[in-house]
Amino acid sequence: MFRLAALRVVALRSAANVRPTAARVPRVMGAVSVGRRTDMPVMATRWYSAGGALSRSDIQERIFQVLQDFDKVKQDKLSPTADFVKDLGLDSLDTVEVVMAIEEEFSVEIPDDVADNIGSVGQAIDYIVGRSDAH
Amino acid sequence: MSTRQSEILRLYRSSLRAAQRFETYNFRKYFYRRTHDRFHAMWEEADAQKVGKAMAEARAELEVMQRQGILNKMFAHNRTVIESDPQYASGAPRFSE
Repeated sequence: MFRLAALRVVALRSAANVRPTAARVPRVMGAVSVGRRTDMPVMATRWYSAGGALSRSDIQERIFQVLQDFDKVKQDKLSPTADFVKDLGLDSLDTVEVVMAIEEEFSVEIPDDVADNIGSVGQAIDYIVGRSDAH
Repeated sequence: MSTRQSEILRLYRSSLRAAQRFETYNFRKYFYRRTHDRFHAMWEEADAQKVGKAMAEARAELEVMQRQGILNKMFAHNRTVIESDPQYASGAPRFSE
């Protein structure tokens, strides 16, 4: 579709024999409304909006969900401030698994040095809140 | 936490990642389970020499998993029934009584 539009622009321009400088198709794909042509090409660009950030409560709810699916977690101790090892009864290996599961839930990859320092539900929530690409 | 322990944790994380990269459901789950069991056994092991040996093995296996994971992605096959049903894949009980 864009290629057709571009071809049409070039054809129109060469037919009208416009100024040679104007015949250069701009780098950004030019779109033209044939009815009223102006000297300035209309720039058709896409403006992607910034994604709606996840709200803290959504993140918390989803992290809780991940933890609820985890057999070893002491479900009655689950709270936004719970520590994985002290409160939820996980060991270090389990913590690695939980952090991996959270990564998967939010489609992000947490770098090793950060992941090493996530030791509680609160820290996990804080980290995901800070990641704009989490969804 | 000793350096040895944090080394194990890092190796564990890399191994789980490598396992997760398999495209085929059965392979993915199998390697995840295998990595899980192997590292939990390693974690319980008190003999430092045995732990060192197990880590060397796990490291060698990590390379294999990474390589095979990529290959597996290249020749991805149809998804299994369980994967195409999001309800079931997420672990929700399929047949509620």
